[in-house]
Amino acid sequence: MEILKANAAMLSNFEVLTLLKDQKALRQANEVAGAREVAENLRTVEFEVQKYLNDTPCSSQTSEQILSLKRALSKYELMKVELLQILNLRPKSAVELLLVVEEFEERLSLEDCDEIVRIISETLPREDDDVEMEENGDVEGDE
Amino acid sequence: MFNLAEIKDTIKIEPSGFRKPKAQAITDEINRKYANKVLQDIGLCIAMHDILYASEGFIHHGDGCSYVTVVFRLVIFRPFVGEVLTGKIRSCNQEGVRVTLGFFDDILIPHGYLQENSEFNADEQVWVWMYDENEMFMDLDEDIRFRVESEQFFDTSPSVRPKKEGVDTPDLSANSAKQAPYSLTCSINGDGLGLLSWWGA
Repeated sequence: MEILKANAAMLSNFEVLTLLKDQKALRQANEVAGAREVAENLRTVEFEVQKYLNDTPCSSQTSEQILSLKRALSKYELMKVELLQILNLRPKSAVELLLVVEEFEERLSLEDCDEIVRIISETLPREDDDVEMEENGDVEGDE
Repeated sequence: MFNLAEIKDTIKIEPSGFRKPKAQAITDEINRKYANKVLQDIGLCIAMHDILYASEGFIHHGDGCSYVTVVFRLVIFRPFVGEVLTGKIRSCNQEGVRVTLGFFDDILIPHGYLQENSEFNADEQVWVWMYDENEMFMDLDEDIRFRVESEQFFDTSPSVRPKKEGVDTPDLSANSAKQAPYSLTCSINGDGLGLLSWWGA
């Protein structure tokens, strides 16, 4: 075995979840044609990773949503890893956002933070947010 | 938290795998060999991502298997130092708090990396964060957000494991080092870190 590149690219949680789902679907399609055994270790890790990822914000994301988030946040000059973590963690408040942004004091104003949090909740909508939104009295119609 | 590693390896396909399409046979073999295993200084392998190159199959003298040189990419779990992750509290003891992600358990938050003014409650066996007048309990199974501070790899292959002195007991399990091949040391001493419920999530 030879490692060519230890870190060829970073993946978001969304991409990993999509890959695992696709692989499983492909396997099930093949199982109809001819029974194929699945290695125990693969089944274990597949199941556990999917279980974990389904509990994270990536379970409701789509590639269109991610693209529009990327476009909306382009003016803030966030680094790739910061964008990746915003995607994976989907911060709901300024204190959560500042965790993943380095040296935020110099780069972002308080208004910027609030604006970014608003963009995130708009471009990556989640059903479990509705409860809080209704309490605040600003329910969004569609999406 | 996940990344891709590019790896070149010779994959052995047994004759029973010849009935499958080649790509499928290679994928199955790679997943059998790597899924859920830790590679030293690489991380925890999850599953194969894609095949970049595969040679023709070679058959060696005296053995019916087909050997294929494959360049492929694996999905690896390896959060970078400084990354923020969420997980669940698995256990607490004097040493600190252990966290699990479900598929990965070897995460320790040592007591020095807990929020300031945290105390261990011996009766309940949990850590408590004394924030002003409030006692914030870190109960088991609660969702927790933490930052990766450092990572440790430990080679568990039998040939290089150092023999411990003076522990040559008949009990074999006591002799074997129970060290995890890949573990993370994390912290929660900062704003926004710790139980999700502390920060109104």
